[in-house]
Amino acid sequence: MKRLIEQGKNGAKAVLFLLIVTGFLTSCYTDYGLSSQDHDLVITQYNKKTNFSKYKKYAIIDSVFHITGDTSKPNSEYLSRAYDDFIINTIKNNMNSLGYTEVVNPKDTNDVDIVLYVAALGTKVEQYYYGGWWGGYPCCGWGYYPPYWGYPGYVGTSTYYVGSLFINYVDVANITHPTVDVEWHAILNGLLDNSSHTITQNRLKEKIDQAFDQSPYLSVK
Amino acid sequence: MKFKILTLALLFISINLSAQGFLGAISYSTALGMGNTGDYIDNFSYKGFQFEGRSFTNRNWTFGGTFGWNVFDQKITDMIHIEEGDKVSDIDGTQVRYINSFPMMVNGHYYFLKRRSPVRPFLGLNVGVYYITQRFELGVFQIERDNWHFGFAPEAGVLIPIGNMAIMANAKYNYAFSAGQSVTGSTDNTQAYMSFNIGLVFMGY
Repeated sequence: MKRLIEQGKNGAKAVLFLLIVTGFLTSCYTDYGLSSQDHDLVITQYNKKTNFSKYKKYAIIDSVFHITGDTSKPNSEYLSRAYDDFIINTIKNNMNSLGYTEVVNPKDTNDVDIVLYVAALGTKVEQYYYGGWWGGYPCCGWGYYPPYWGYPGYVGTSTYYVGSLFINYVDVANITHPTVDVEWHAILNGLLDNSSHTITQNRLKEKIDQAFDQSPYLSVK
Repeated sequence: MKFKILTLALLFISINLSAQGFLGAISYSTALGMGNTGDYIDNFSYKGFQFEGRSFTNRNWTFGGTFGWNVFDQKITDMIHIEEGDKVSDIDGTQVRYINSFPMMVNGHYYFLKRRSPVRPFLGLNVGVYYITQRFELGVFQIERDNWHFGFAPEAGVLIPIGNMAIMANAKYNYAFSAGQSVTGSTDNTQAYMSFNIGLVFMGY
């Protein structure tokens, strides 16, 4: 009898040990510890029929359009204009490297082959989740403002901010009102955070350069 | 409905366990995706477990049930290239892919050699359902699909008795028939993976 009890105890210990080990090893969604930068996306699109080699001269609109959904508000609530010039200059550097020639202050559409314009959109995202279960982005500490937690015991919220930059490449011959056909465009999307000015600039440069690097067909050299 | 039937079947099996010679097992489970599963995540999975109960109907046959959990995940930084007609898209970003598979099955096993043999090889067949969730994360975006699949899993393994307990090692080919839509939007949502399990067995005979 004693032997049986001892075996039972050993068996229970073994089960407990295995349960603990498997519990530690198994979770639905592994946390890869992604940083804000790891959530950056660079999307480029173009039309296969476009012959980019015919374009040589370009002009770029010298300010970034902030999409606010309200024409009386030219500045986004969530985006700073401190990076606008840097963004425009980085795009110019890439275009010049690809063999294009910039035309400053063109008199009319005959002076250029293409026009580039840049738009930016900042979005506030509020995420709700139920106690004990986490299903999305970002984990604590991300976002321009720290995510806050509320409604203890019932439901929590997390707030984060997403920024998108749209770079559009338009053949002036194809500009028809009210729509504009773009030959190529890039969308840069990522979490906004409270990094320093330099770090944010480096991140913007890296992603704008990436948009052009992954579009070698734009080269007119 | 199918979930209720399965629950009743597992309950019936668990009642039988107390009445006859039985074995109960808890195993650590690893797995390798195959077919659509392997195309989506080709990492070897080290995360999983399975619980199992088997009831002896005679010296060589058991019938029982099993519940398991296998987690597949992978972080990928490869560029995504999509062509739709004349429109070509390239996407640079970090992808994180997940599959969680929960097999819930009834099974039958045949054991070779004698009950007191130092090693007892066995063959088995599991039939039941898989609850499979697939998640795709890219940038700040996330898509998730979950489906119930009918499926089966042929199995081969060995029991190594140690006193009233045993070590069990087995391999299962898990095949889940197509159900619903995959996370990539495909209607071919067949999932398959090979699982390799090792665990402790509590012998009740």
